[in-house]
Amino acid sequence: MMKNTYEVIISGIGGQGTVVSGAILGEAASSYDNKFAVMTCTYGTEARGTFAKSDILISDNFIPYYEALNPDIILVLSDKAYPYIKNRIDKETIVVINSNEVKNYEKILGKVYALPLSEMAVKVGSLQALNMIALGFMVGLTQMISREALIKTVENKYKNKRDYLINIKAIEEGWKMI
Amino acid sequence: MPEARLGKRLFLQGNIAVGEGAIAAGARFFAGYPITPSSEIAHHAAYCLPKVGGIYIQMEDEIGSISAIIGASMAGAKVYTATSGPGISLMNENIGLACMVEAPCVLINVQRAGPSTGLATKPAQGDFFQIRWGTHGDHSIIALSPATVQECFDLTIKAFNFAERFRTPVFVLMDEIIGKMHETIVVPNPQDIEIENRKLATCLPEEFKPYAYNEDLVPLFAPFGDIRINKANGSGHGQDGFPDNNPDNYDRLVRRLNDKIEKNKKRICLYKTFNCQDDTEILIIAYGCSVRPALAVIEQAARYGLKIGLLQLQTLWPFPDEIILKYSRKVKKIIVPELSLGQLRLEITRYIKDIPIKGVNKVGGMSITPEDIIKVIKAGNEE
Repeated sequence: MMKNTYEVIISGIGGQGTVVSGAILGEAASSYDNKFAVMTCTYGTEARGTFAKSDILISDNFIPYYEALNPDIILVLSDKAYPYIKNRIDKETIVVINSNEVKNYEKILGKVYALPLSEMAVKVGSLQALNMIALGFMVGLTQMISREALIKTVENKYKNKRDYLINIKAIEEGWKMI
Repeated sequence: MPEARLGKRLFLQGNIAVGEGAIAAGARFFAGYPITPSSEIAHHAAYCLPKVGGIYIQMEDEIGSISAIIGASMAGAKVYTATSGPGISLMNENIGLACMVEAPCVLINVQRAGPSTGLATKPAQGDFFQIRWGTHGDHSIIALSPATVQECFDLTIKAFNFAERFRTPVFVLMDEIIGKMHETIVVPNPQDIEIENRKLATCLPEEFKPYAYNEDLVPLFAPFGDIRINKANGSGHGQDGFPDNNPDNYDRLVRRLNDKIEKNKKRICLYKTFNCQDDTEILIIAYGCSVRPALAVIEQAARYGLKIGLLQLQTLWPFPDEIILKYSRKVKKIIVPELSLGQLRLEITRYIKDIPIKGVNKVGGMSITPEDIIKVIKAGNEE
């Protein structure tokens, strides 16, 4: 089912790529899918290790407000992030959990998909690619943007970098999990 | 700006869009002292200006920054700096100098929660009066405020055009939300961008007067280094730029500095309206980040059975009193959401005396939500 507007929250700790993931979704939607996107981020002054979150909204039309007030999908990459986003979850929310880090996710409301993202990322070649696996999965599940747009954006962003192939592979691995 | 970006749909941060707009407008000199939440504008300038033959200087502080851009402006460059409220506090003395010597310059203030160092990473709209009255003495000033990343680009170009056209400092008043937000933007092709440059003197050098009066009220410019000798004098000066304390001369000078802006309000005051109809009952007046929750309220208004319109002020100074009067003529109530204790609201009350004006005010460093506005509207209706 295609919705007109997707509200996404990507939460974790600094260093897990919550802001980069949001920027990739937004860029893919804007530059390749001819959609509108808006993103706002919350993060601390620390470089790594504390709560970080990005709200990304993607729509066929201009988006009035910049925060995800009724998120359709929430990604939780770390245990430390869960307390901050738990009150945003209702029965209809898709919640994607990194089961290597978040415990007791059975109690979480909503449609929970628990994936061992950290483990999968290490297998792909880098723990840092866990956000890319999650992106592949979330985009595959919801079709909020097209597969081509996601791949092209990541190619564009990383083509001259060492981790380029790992990132592409990570997206494919995530996509396979749907 | 890299050629590849022109005419494309991009997903850019507001601060970066300001930087791209500045370069598209022809800016080639930036001097600044990076401060959160404006730092990306300095990063962008450092990275991009040298590629287009421009200059970036990291200064020792904000006092040095404003001084450097005034100098570069008087040498003929299109100049800008970016800071936040604490930096504007330091710049205020020389903002007055820029007004007095009529140095075109664009000053970007990405507002954060104050007073003092306040909250570096949190948004506010508490500098509304600071940018108007921060520097001493009677003067007028221009300030534009974007509410989308697209407007960050578009209004920055306008800011440079106004600075050049009226030979004055022009503020781009941002806030942490709009500056740090990423959003879809369509970068126009250069042929679709309207650019204005300051009018240059063409007279014989011996006939040149740097502050000559003309009907336009804006003196013709000769850059430092030109065969026409320009003078930048912060003290009372005559048309030739030499000191002149004659009361009639000084009265005329101060009035001209005000009039060149205030008498061009029709051209300078930019705004947008959303859902403003003849039968609109509630008018929301907002600028910057507070426009966005208001837009969400407008979208949901029918659900609440309310006739709500929104007047978005893109120009804050000179104050668009006539536009506000025009759109509030028939409404029953005005709502002013802002991340301050009511600065815009206070200014509106100078012009609107017979309609209740309610504020939606937050100063904790959090965004106003659509729900915050709805609450105030509903509370008013129950009275």
